[in-house]
Amino acid sequence: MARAMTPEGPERPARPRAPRAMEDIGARLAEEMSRTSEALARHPADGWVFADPYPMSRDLVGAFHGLIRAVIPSAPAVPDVEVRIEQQVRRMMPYMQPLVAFGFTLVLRALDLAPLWRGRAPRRLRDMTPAAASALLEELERSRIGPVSDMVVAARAAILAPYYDLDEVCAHIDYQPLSFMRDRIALRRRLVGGGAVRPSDLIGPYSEQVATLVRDVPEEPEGAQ
Amino acid sequence: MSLYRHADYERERSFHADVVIVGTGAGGAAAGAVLAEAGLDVIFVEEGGYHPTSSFNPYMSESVPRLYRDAGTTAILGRPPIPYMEGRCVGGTTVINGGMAYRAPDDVLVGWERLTGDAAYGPGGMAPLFAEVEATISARRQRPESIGDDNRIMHLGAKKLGWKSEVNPRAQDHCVGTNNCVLGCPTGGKQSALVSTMPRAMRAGARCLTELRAERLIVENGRCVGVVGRSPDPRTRRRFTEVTVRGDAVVVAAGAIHTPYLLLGQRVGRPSRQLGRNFLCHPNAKVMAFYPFDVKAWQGVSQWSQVREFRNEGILFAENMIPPWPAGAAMPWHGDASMALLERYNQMLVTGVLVEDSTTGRVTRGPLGMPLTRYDITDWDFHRFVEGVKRLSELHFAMGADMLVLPFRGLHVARSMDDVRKVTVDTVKRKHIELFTVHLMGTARLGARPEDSVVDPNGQLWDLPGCYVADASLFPTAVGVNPQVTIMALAYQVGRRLADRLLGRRARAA
Ligand SMILES: Cc1cc2nc3c(=O)[nH]c(=O)nc-3n(C[C@H](O)[C@H](O)[C@H](O)COP(=O)(O)OP(=O)(O)OC[C@H]3O[C@@H](n4cnc5c(N)ncnc54)[C@H](O)[C@@H]3O)c2cc1C
Repeated sequence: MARAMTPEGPERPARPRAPRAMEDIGARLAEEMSRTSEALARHPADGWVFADPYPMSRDLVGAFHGLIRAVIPSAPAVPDVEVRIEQQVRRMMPYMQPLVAFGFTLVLRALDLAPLWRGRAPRRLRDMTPAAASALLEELERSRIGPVSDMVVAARAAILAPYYDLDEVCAHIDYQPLSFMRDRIALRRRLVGGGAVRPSDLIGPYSEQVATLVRDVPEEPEGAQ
Repeated sequence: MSLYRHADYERERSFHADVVIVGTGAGGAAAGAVLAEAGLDVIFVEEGGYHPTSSFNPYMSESVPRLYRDAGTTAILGRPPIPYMEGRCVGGTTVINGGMAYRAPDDVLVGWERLTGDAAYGPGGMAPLFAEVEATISARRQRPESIGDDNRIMHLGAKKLGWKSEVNPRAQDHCVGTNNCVLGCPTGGKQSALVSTMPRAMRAGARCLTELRAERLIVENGRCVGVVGRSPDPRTRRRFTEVTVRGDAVVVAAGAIHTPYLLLGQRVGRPSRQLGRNFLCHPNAKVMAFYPFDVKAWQGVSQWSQVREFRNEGILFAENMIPPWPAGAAMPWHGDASMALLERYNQMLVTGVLVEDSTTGRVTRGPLGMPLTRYDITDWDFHRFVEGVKRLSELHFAMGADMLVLPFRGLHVARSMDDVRKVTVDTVKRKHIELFTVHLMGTARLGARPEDSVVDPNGQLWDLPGCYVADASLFPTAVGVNPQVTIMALAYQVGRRLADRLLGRRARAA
């Protein structure tokens, strides 16, 4: 049966607001949204399903590994570094626009064949030494042809992002966020619970230079706007 | 049940509510909260997944695909192309944003009042909404225990040079300076939509359909009465389940790129042809500085202050430290040269030059579900970037930096101001400046007349009754400040007016 029209559209029967049980479920969910955990897990278990790696032929994986060797630093030594970076990138690719993900596979192919189309050597990038391959990539990045340079920039970003996310590499550059974050989570809990700030809760100064600065120009006190 | 994921759509594929809201970001969640609290039955349709605070961590491995649209590979086309970031999760971009909480300036709002012909969008009308938003997200200055050395260097450096530096109000409650804003705040201190407006909506009985992308609107008798969405199989992301959600009104709050993308598929916004146009993005350029001492900029809040000395030229400076993975990915070196710099990560400061838009771009529909966004900076913008980078470099060298990485291809390294002075609008090409953006606005502008705007002052599309917009797309012009507070204020306004209409109608029917 057709519904009566009003200026705002078809009339619908009035619906009562959400039933009590619904609001209780909502309240529980609302509480869960903000609840903290010190787990800080790399692969959190919150019911979300991580996609399978983007399909790549064995040959393309070979090209990718060659490029990874050319892009990453020679130290520190990281076990299975090529496979770990390749897997990470391939697990991110299903979330990209399909054209972008496919474009990335073309970039891998094109860079693998760069020694040939650049007239450098009768072999593929993956067959060069990492140092020689790295030098060729540097040269390509300086190319006046925009898309050639852009390919190197894109491949480098895709490889170095997961590289600098590896635990071993973070430890090497002395970036150790876990203990700091756990302390801060505990600190916030304490403060929200009415605890007072202790001098050891302050961050830095980490150098004499900054300590001097702070002494010379006092920081603005906390205040309402 | 109030939260649905892909697996749940096997059982239930058809939903009804009073109001369907597409998107749970700054705008969508705020509109949903006021609508649900008014007693209306609200369903959110959210393309991203649900990731509670307890799942946040400092690693990119899963955080980026979970929280970022297209795993962070989005870019605006133009000269130069501009990579941009958007959230795709419950809470939207607020989950990964920096938390700065500024009101749109009065001079901007005076213009909005004129363009909309509605005092509610002027300084007087917006002030109470801003106050309400600020209370919701607890906008306030940082506590001393959250401040780190990069904050100190930027703020005190500006003071040393006699420049105005303002301490930012931020959306935070007991922020302790964990500096994981870009991967979700693990302490719950940052008041993103996930921990502020979404919980309010859920407590008031709203439902949230996650992992569901709205693909088209349902239009019957010339009126918008729902959306059809598709949920990808989480493993393959290739097979899809179709879900229908019907309501008396649909509020589109998918952000300034995906809102016009969805609506353009519907062939609306025709009277003015403005839908997708007027795209604004506050482009910014990074200056990475290295100091001869430890700064540990990853400890301490992101953007404690902003240097606002050059605000009248539309230029702002801010510090916003990032983890090693985006820093390493953004630097113009690979191999051992890259590691040589990252080994100085603890001495590094990442800072930015933000430029207010002097032009607009456009969003159109591309192939395979892909929006195409085009934006070209102007000569004036280019000039301001070059000038802004020079001034920011001056601050770093004045504070003792020994090396800067500048955002100009071919002219990256500066070890002194002499090097910086080599950068001029004549020595670098416009297409070689490396830009970035995180503020996307303005593609379904509010206005008083259907001839030059997309939505009316109630947020309703001029040519599609029942369809409303409540996100950054509404901005009639650029705001020149971080936009989330203004987006939320507009969403409150649209949500309240819609609630009044629907409840009034319900009362009349009763
Ligand atoms: C790194 C970063 C830092 C920032 N820092 C600040 C800051 O400090 N202060 C500030 O004010 N602003 C900041 N911003 C910007 C601010 O967060 C955004 O402007 C704001 O969140 C935009 O709100 P919105 O409602 O328009 O869209 P969003 O918050 O992006 O929400 C849109 C939602 O819609 C969903 N969606 C999109 N399409 C569909 C579809 N078809 N179907 C279903 N769901 C869909 C998305 O998944 C998303 O959840 C920052 C942004 C970033 C990325």
